[in-house]
Parts: sequence; C-alpha cells; structure tokens
Amino acid sequence: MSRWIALGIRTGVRSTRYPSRPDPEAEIAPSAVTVDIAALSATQALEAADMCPTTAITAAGDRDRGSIAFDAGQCVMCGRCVRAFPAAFSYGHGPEVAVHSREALRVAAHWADGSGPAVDETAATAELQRRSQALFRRSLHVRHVDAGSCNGCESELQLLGSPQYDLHRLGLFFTPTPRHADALLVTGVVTRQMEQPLKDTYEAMPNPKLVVAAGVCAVGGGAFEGGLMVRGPLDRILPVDVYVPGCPPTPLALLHGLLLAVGRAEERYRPDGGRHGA
Amino acid sequence: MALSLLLYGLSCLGIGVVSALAVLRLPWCIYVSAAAGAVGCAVLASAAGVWLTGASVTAKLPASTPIGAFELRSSTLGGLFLLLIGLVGIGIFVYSAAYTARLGGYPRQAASLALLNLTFAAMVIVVAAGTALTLLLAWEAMSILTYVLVTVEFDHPGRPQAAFLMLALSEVGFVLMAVAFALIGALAPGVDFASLSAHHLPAATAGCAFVLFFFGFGAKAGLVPLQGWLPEAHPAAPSHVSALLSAVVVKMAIYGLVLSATVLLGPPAAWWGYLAIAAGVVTAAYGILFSLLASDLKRALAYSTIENLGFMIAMLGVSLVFAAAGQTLLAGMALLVVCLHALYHSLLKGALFLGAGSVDVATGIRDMDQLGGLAKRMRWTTPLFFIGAMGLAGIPPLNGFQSEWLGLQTLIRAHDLVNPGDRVYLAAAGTVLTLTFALAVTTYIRIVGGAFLGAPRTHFAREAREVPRAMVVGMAIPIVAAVAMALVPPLGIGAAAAAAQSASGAHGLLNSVLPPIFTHPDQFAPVVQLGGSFLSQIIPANGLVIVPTSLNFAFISPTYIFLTFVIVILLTAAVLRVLCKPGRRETPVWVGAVSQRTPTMQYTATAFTNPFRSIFGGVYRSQREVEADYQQAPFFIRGIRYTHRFVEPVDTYIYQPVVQAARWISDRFALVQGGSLSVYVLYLFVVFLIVLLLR
Amino acid sequence: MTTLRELAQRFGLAIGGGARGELRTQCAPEEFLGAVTALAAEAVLADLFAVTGRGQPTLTVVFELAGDAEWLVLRTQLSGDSFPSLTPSTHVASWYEREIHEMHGLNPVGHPALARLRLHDWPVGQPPMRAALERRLDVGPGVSSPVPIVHGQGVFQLPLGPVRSGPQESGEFLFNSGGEDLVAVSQLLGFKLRVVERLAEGRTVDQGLILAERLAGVSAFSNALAFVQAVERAMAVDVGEQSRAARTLMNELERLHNHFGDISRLADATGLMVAGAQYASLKEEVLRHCAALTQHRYLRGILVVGGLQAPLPDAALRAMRRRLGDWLRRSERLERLLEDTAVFVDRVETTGVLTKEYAAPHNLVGPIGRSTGADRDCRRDHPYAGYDRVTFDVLVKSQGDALARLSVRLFEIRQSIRIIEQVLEAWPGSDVAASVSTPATGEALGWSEGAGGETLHWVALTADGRIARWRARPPAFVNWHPYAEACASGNNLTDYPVIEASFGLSHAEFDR
Repeated sequence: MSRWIALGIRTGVRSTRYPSRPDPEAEIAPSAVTVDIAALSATQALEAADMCPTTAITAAGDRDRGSIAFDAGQCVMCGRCVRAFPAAFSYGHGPEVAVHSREALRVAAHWADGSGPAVDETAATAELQRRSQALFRRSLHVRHVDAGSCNGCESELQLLGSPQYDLHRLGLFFTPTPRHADALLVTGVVTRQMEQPLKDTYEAMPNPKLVVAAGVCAVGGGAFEGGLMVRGPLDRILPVDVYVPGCPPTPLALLHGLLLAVGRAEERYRPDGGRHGA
Repeated sequence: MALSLLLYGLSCLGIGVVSALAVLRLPWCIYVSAAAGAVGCAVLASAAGVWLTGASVTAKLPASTPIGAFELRSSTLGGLFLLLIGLVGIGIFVYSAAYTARLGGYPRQAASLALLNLTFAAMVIVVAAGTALTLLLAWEAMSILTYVLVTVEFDHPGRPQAAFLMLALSEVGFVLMAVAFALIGALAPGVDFASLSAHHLPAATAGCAFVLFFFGFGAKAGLVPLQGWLPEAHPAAPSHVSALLSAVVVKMAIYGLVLSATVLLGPPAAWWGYLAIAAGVVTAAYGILFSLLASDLKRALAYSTIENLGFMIAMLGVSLVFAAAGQTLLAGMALLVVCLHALYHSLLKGALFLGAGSVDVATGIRDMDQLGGLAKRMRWTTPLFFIGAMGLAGIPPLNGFQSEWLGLQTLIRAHDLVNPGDRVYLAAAGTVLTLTFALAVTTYIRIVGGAFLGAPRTHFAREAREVPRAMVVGMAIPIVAAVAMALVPPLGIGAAAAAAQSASGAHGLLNSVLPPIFTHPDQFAPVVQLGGSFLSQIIPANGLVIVPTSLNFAFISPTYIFLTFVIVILLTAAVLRVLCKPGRRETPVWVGAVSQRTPTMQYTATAFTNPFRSIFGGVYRSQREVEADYQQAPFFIRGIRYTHRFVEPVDTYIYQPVVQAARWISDRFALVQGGSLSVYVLYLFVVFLIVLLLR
Repeated sequence: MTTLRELAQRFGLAIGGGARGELRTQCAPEEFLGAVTALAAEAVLADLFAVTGRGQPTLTVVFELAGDAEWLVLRTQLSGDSFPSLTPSTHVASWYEREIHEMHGLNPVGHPALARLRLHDWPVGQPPMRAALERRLDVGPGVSSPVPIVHGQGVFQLPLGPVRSGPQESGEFLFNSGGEDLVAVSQLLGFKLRVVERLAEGRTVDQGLILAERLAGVSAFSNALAFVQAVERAMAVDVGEQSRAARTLMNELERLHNHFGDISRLADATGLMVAGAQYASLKEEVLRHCAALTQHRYLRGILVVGGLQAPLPDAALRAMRRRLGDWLRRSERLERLLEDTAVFVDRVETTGVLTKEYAAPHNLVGPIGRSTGADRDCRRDHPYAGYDRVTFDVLVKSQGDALARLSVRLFEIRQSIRIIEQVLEAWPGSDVAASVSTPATGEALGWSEGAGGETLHWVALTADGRIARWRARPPAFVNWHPYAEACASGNNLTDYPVIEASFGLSHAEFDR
C-alpha cells in the first residue's frame, strides 16, 4: 500500500486552476458554438439550416426574405456548420457556457429585401444577468439522475472526480441520497420510463433545491427530441435553474454550471457572442 | 417483622389460589386472584426490604422428621432474591390478569392462576428455607408446579415434550442436590443451614459436594450441558410462565449456587472457582451464539437468558477464586455483581418475556422474520421492550451496563492475585465475557429491529393491535423498577451489596463500590448543600447532582447529566414545536426511486446475523445450500431455495449419545422382562434365596 | 476448416446478392427453425432482428464463424405474426426474441420465458417499432421481467436503483440475499429506452449518423463507425487509405479511454483510490488528445460516409505520438503495482465468475467474452478500416472472474498503443476524401470492434437515400445476458460493486 501512496505523492498535483485561472489544456475541447450572424448571407443561412441535424439551426423563407434561429440548447456539437461556414460559426468560446434561462440560448435573425440577416432583439441580446444566489455558496451536494442519456454526460461527470478537475476542491460533492442533496443534476432526455423515478427523486429532496439540466438532451431534447418514448426536455417536467449546453458538456462547462448555480460564477455565454447589447 | 411480612405475603398468595379455584363459578375472580398475587408480591418485596437490612430471624415448624425439621429463615442473601421475586411477581400477576384469558376456557385460567400463586409460594419458601428438607421440598414443588404450568396448554404441539424435558432435567438436578445435601448432612450435626455453615467439612467432601451442588442447581440454572430444557420450555410455555421461568425460577438456581458455594460449604478451594468460571464462560458463549441463530422471538430471549446465567455463574467462580486467594473484598465484589446482575436481569428479562407474550397475543406468531412494523401498531409495548432490550444489551446508563461494567472491573482486579495462572485464567474469562457482551448488543439490536422496526412483513404483523392495558402495565412495572434502579444506582447496588456482604463475609463492600457520599453522607455535610442532597427527600439517595469523593474533589453525577440531557432535549423540542412553522413534507422512504416497494425489502433478523454465522461457522457447523429449480435449461430459473443448517452441539454430542446409551442399556435389560409369569416367579425365588443366604 | 459458404451449402441454402463479404441467403418460414438450429450448432449467432412495417415481417439472422472473414445473413419472410422460437435449441436467441416480441409484436412460439425485456408499463399490443402509433398512450398493465422467486428463512430483497448512488447510468437490480451473500440477482433494464432505431426511420443518412453517434457516449465512435461502414458497404463505396488509417487510430483511442475508465472504476470499487485516480487521469489525457484531433472529446462529428469530415491536424498527431510512450510506461507500472497489491487481487480473484460452460451459449463478445474463453475479435476475424495493415495479439482467458476481465483489458491497452504506433509509423498523410456523390441505396451490414466488443449495425436505405430500417446491436446487448448469473455465483453484497465495475456494461447501449 505504501507504494501506492508513494506513487500518488510522486505524481503531484494535477488539478486545473479553473476557475481562478483559465486552463488552455483543458479548454482544447470546444464547449459551445457561437454564431456571428452578420457574417452569414441569406443563402448560407438556409444551407446551414439544412445541414444542421437537429433544430439548433432553423430557417424559413428564401433568399429575399426569411428568418433564421440559432438555438444553442439544441446544438449537438456535430461541427458541420463550423466546418462549412467558419467565418460565421465558431468554437471560439471558452468553457463557461452555462446560463440561467432557456431563452438565453436562442438568437434569431431575419432578413428582408435582399439584405443580410439582422439579429432580433431578444432576451439573448440583453445584458448578461449577474444574479447572485445566496444558497449553498460554499458547499453544494449534488444528486445526479440519469434520465435517459447516452452515457457521455455520465462519463464527463465521472471525470469531474479525476485529478485534473477534482470537484471536491470547489466544495462540490455528489451525494447518493436526495435527502442530503441541494441540487438535482439531470442528464439525458427524459425518457418515459425514467420520468417517474426522476420526479420521485425531485420530491425526495428537501427545499430549497436547485435543478441543473446538463447536456443538450436535457436542455432541449437534442437528437432525440420528439421521439416516441421521450418526455423531455427537462423543463417540461421540472423547473430548471441552470442549463449547461454541450453534447456532452465538457467537464469545465459542468463545473461552470454548478458554480453558476450557487452564484460563484457568472454567465458568460451568449450564442451570438454577446456582440449585440451591452 | 421480617417473617411476619413473609407470612402475610404467603397468605395473600393463598387467597390468590383460593380465588383462582373460585373462577369456575365466578369468572371475575380472575382479577381477584391476580390482584391477590400482586399484593402478595408487593408485601414480599417489602419483606425483602426488611431482610436486607440485616435482620436474621428463624421460625421453626413444630413438625419434625428424621431427616430434619421445617424451618424458615430470613437472611440478606435470601432477601435480595425475595426482592427479585416480589418485584417481578407484581408485574407477572398484573400481566396474567389479562393474559390468561387467551388460554382457552375457565378451567385452564383457573388452573394457571392457582398454580402461579402456588409456584410463587414455593419459590418464596425456597428463598426462606432454613433447612435442607425445606429447601428440597420447596424446590421439588417448584419444579412440578412449573411443569404443570407449562403444560396447561397441552394440546399445542411440542409443548408436552418441552415440559417433559424440563422436568427430566430438573429431576436430574434434584437428585444431584439431594445427594449433596445427604453427603454434607451426614457429616454435620444437623441439616439446618446454620449448623451446616458452622461446620467444617474435609476438603474432599466439600469438593464432592460442591460439584454435586454445582450441577444440581446448575440444571435449573441453564448450565451447559444441562441447559437443554431452557430453549425448549421458554418458548413453549405461556408467556407469563416464560417470564416466570426466565426471570425467577432460574434465579432460584443462582440463589442455590451462591448459597451452597459460599454459605453451606465453608471456605472454597481455588479449583471450585476454576470449574465455575469455565462452566460459566462456556454457558455464556453458548447462550449468545445460539441466540444469534434463533428466529423465534422467545427462543432468542431464552438463549440470552442462558448467556446471562453463564455470566452470573462465571462471576460466582471469580468470587470463589478470590476467596480462595484470601481477597475477601474482591470476592465480595464479585458476589455483588452476581446478585446485582441477578436482580437486574430478572426485572428486565421478565419484562421482555411479557413483551414477547404481548407480541404473540397481538400477532399470533413469534417468528421475527415475519414480524416487523410493530412500533406503530403496539405503541406502548414497543418502547418498553426497547428499554428492556437496551438494558440487557448493556447500553449505558441502564442496568445491564452497570452490572457488566462492575463485573469487568472486578475481573481486571485479577492483577491483585498472586498466582500468575489465576491472572491468566481470569483474563481469558474476561475476554470471552466481553465478546459475549458485544454479541449481546447484536442480538438485541436484531430482536428489536427485526420484530418491531421497519414495515410489517406479513399480514400477521400488519394486523397487530396493542394488547389490553393490564398486559402493558404488567410489563411496565418491572421496567419502571429497573429504570429507577438504573438512574439511582444506590437502590439496586445497596441491596446487592447487603446480600453479597453477608455471603462473602467482606466488610465495607458498599463503600468500595459507591462513592462515600452514599454510604457516609454525614462526612460531606458542607458539600451536601451544594447539590449532593438534591431530591434526597424523595429518592433515598444522595449524590444526584454532584458526587464528592473527598472533601476537596467531586464529580458531576452521571445520572444528573443524563436527566439534564433528557430535559433539555424535551424543552428544545417543545420550544421548536411552538416557535417554528410546520413546514414539513412527507415523502416515501428513498430506495433509489424503485418502482415497487415491498415489505420484503428490509433486513430480516436472520439476515442480520449472516456475518456471525460465517465467522462462527466452526461452532455452528453451518451449511448453506442454494437449490435452484430450473424450467428448462439452467438458464431459466423458476425458484430458488436457500437453506441454512447448523448443528446444535449439546444436543448432538451429549444428549443424543446419552439417550442412545440409555436405550441400549434398557434394551439389554428388556431381555430380563420375559413376560412369562413363571420367569418372574423364578426371579423372586432367586432373590429370596440370596436374601436368606445373606442373613 | 469449414467456412460459412460450405455450411450454407451443406444445409441447402443458396447464397446470392449482398455486399462484399456478406453471404445472403433465404429460407422459408417452415425451414427457419431447422436451418438456424443447424447453423448455430457450428457457427456463432451474432444477431437476430426483425423488420416490420414494410410488407410482411422478416427475420434476419447474422452468423459468423471462427477463421472465416465473411458473414452469413439468413433471412426469412414470415407469413403471419408468429414464428417458432429458436431459444430452446439456441439459447442466445432468448433475449433477441424477447426484444422482437416487445418491439415488433411478433410472437416466438415456444419461448420458455417470454417476458418484457426493456418495456415496463407499456400497454400490451402496441409494439413501439410498428407503424402508426400515437405519442401519448394510456398506461396499461404490462408483463414484467421474470424474477426468480427465492424461498428461505430470513431471505430478503435489496433493491438497487434505478437512480444509483453516484453519476451512473440508471438501471434497477434486485438482490435476493440471506444477509451477506447474494442468492439471486434480477435486473430490470430499459429505463433509458429511446427507441433510437425508430427515430432514425425516414431520416437522412447524415441524421442517422448523428443518432448512431449518440446511441452511446463512450463508444460513440465504434457505433458510428459500424453505421458508416454499413452505409458505405450498401453503396459499395471505397474509403481511402488516409481515412482507413485515421479510423483505425480513432477506434484504438476510444478503446484506450474506455479501458482506462473501466479500470479506474474497478479500482475505485475495491477502494484503491490512488489507482482509480491514476487511471482516470490517463483517461482524461486521452480524451484531451481526441479533442485536439477531432474537436470533440468523444470523437463525434468526425466520421462521414466515404471518409472523414476533416483531416486530423498534424500537430495534434505529433503531440499524441509523443505521449504514447508515457501512457504505455504508466500503464505497465500500474499493472505491475496492481498485481502486487494483495488486497486488490483478493477482491477481484474468483469474484463474479462466469464459467465457460455457462457463458458459451451466450456468444459473448469483447473483453468479457474473451475472459470466458470466447476467442472473438472483429479486428482480427473481419478486418475493417486499416486493421489488415497492423499486427496485434488477442488475449483469451477462461477463468471468467473479475481478474480475468481486468487482465484482458490491461493486455488490450498495450495492444492498442502498439496498433496506434504502427498506424502513425505508416501514416499516409492527412489528406482525406470526404464527399460521396452517388445517392445512398441498398442495405448492408457494418461492424466494428468497440471497447466493449463486436458492434453490429444493419442499415437498409430507401430509394431516395433515407433510412428505411436501422438495426443497432452494440456489444452490451449480448453481454448483459449472463450478468445476473455472474453476480449470484457465490458472491457477497460487498462484491457487487466490484463485479459491476469489472463488467463495465453500458445501459445506454442496451436500452437504446
């Protein structure tokens, strides 16, 4: 056993410095897509909507008049739009992609009379919310429920305990019982057969409690939206406090989501890169 | 005064007998009989109080026989056991007022109550006996009366056999006792205890007599290998009789053991102590190990009784070892532990058996694996049972902890012994006893958890209702007495110390156990006002707040801390109730959001001891069998049967061979029984010839 | 050495049509049972599925044979909704038939234990894979999974799940225990049923690829690869050298991070936290390199029919190549330390034993199969992508306990690194051909060897290139079958986490 201890000590500290400092190695994997609407022509907008496999990019109309909507809460990170139109769609944003409201993940634009798309004023373009939460600041116990995921989100959640991320140093813990839990972290589109266990878990948690939807399946239904056995996304069933997009969300994005839930981090992501509005 | 109270008590019991017989005409006489019994026991308890103050009075009956006279004698040792009989008896009688109704029919009720009163009378005479004859007669009466009491419900399967086994082993013990008395009586001027204790016996005779007495009384005390009747008779008997057997009858055996070892036989030899310790430790270990296996509630309690009796016998042995080494004070301490544990155990175990009877009445079954969830349905019995179980498990501040703690403390004092062999022997005994105490905690957790907590596993448990009030009160009386003695230790320890002091000849025993404020409060007059005499008007004991050990040093009484603790918790709860908003929300038990919750999804009492069955597999010789019932291939299993077998060593290796041998011998002798008249006449002729020749 | 061709001829089955490497044959419904029983006695039944909703229901059985690189695909067209059950003679068909029964509504007559496999309280008579179903249905009584009834003094049940204790997938287990020992285990799966096969019907191949990638997370690439290769074989599209090499590389990277993760969880289950942390750290490093190569940690979004979406960046390849030696060294050191740690070895040795005799009729795949003596590996037996250019070994053990499963995984880690090194040595350059202009049509089988084992996908396309039927049979579907027996074979309750971690089975792959 002593050899294991010696090995551990020799290996040293591997944890990321996030959130106090950015971690470029950990941020290799993109966490969300940002779109620069101005760099899209109407035709490109329609093509992008065609190539998007989910309802992340939807468009209507034709070259002269139409609209496009980009919903980061449905983006499964397939990379097709980024590769096709690198000027408009990019992976440039860092890992802090969690938001408080579903509307914050949507941006819409329309065009008319042959001009290029112009962004509509929506909640997404409003000022980033700096909501402060007084709950569970220093210590958050999270009860995770897999409501029908593909296991990718679970893999990332399990890696939160790995030496590189080590969520315990931030006062975040996974708890096996909902009675001790402060937050409910749900992954997966809510399948019909997991709906009742999910609700039972939510009921078994004492108030006050937070709900975090992690992964695009929970946020918007992802690739499975509208399926026969699918009840989700999560906000059809439970009130959601934080949405973490991604397919799966990277571990840093998950950390940001949890910290956002307790008010130790701020919202930093808007699908349009926050170029409009303050 | 001492004996007059005794006679009043006996006459109350007599009234109880008569009124029980009147039940056949007037059914309400049941209550009269039970009340008479209870009053009689109360009077006896107060008589005991008088006896414990040291009065020693004898009363001879005018009749006399060639083998001695009938004599009643009051003694402090007897006083302790009389106190025990009285206190438990009140509870048993109150309980039987309501319990006997389920025996089925007035004749059985009448018989049961009459016999109960008679048995108590017999036990009182055992304790008050002053000569061997009185003791033996009363003992035999007690055995036969309990036998009949057990077989009142003779139509239940297995009961007659269990009772017969009890009678058989009692008789074995009786024969040994009688031979022992004959042995020492032949050498002494008389068979009254006074002359027996004064007479010095030669070592060999004393040793012989000790062994005979040890196994003679030991048969009734559940000593291995004569304990076979205990786990059979206690479950088989009606519950008030089980309580009687476990709480009182076996303590008579302890009385007998202490009496013979310390009073009747003079100075002990060391090997007496070794024998007693070995036998006691084996008994204790055996008792607790098999208590872990029993799934029948009363059987588990019965085996636990064996364990406690083993502890008492072992401590008696320790006392003998100390006495043989000249350490009189330590010998007295060990005897104090025996007496104290006897008192506490009888109160608590009596109550537990009454509680088990309540469970039986309420649910109809005793199998703990089918019970559960009784806490919500039997709201009075459960907390009482819980306190009794905690007490016997040795959880501070209750009774079992006190006596077991004192016992271990006494064993640790083995370093005062000169002989290193003695020290090792006592240390080894202490180790095994500590293990049995730990296992006792397990077994009581298992019993309370399996039977009372959780959700009901079968419809028997689901349909349980609380038992009639008399049964609850009957159970509560010994519990209340025990708790009072636990919270005010001088009450119980004082009685035990008085008894032990007289039996061992130690002086100042109480002083060495209790802080001096209890024994010499006048020395601490300046301290007493600071709280040392708090409530001493109501409860006859000082030191409820602070306990001074000298004029310069005192410590806070643990009783006070405990009571303060309880009061603060209750106050806080009340304040919170009043002040806080009722923001409660109830949700079902969390089992991982499983779709179906069935009552089978809880630990059973048997499952709880699975690790012990593995660890002690060598003792149990346990075998685990898993048989699967296949549908087609081994892939489609329809059902699985899981059985656990174990071997009961005493029955397999001692009783069975003895029975086989007896059968073999009697088969041989059966040859002599030709069946033909002429052969018998021939025998008579041969014997006649031999007698003529011998003249 | 027999081949599948010879077997088919011996049983009078005519071979015709089908993509390269597939022997397609047909038989009449009356001969189906006999043909399958005879074939299954000599070959390995790899998949059994139904196609309904397009004319008469058909059943398709896929066979493979050791030493033969081809597949035998036997199809029969049923006249009604029932067929004679294959289970009494071929046990592996048991769960396939239960799935067909509940999903398609076909009735395998004579199945000994026909009960629900993944559906819980779904109404009877509404098979989810058949056409014309409404979204919201009234819940009616269903038939639950068979649970062995355990009798015994003091036996109780301990439920586990479906919501588990940590960040784990959802699934329900019921232990029958006598206290400490596990007498019987029954499992209730299917909580994560999304019916992805139904979702894909009518969608484009590209959308189907998105679903294939998200059927499972940690084995996203091998599932997507099997899907893409099925489409490519249906279209008879050849994939260039560069794509082959890249696909081999990524398949092995996925195997690496899976095995690192599985071993990490096994170490955590036995309480060896340092080992768990070391392996988790390795897994994270592999995932970061995957992200550098493909811009996705789980290698999603890189595959496309005909090749890759984008070339793998040279800088990322070089960086990974530099790390390989370090990974190998650390892995070997950890392996030696684990072998020397008696408390660890004690907990995994003889724990969760799957005997060879019990496991053999289940046709297990992957490391679990190889730990019970089943010598199957798609990379070696049916080389795909660039596996015909690399050399590697396959370890087969027969003890079937957790230690054997661990040993196989440890061995495969070393082999994966060896394969990656060979691929990088002979790297043909990073120029990849991507687009395919011919519209997709036809149907074919696609396969890959994922970290969990052989992954089979079957894709049938309509005339306009949309998905008519997609069948996904990930390795977990096969390997979950004997799991309950492995748990109950003389183990304790405390052994259960070790057994579960040593199997490392994915619920998402099974439930789909």
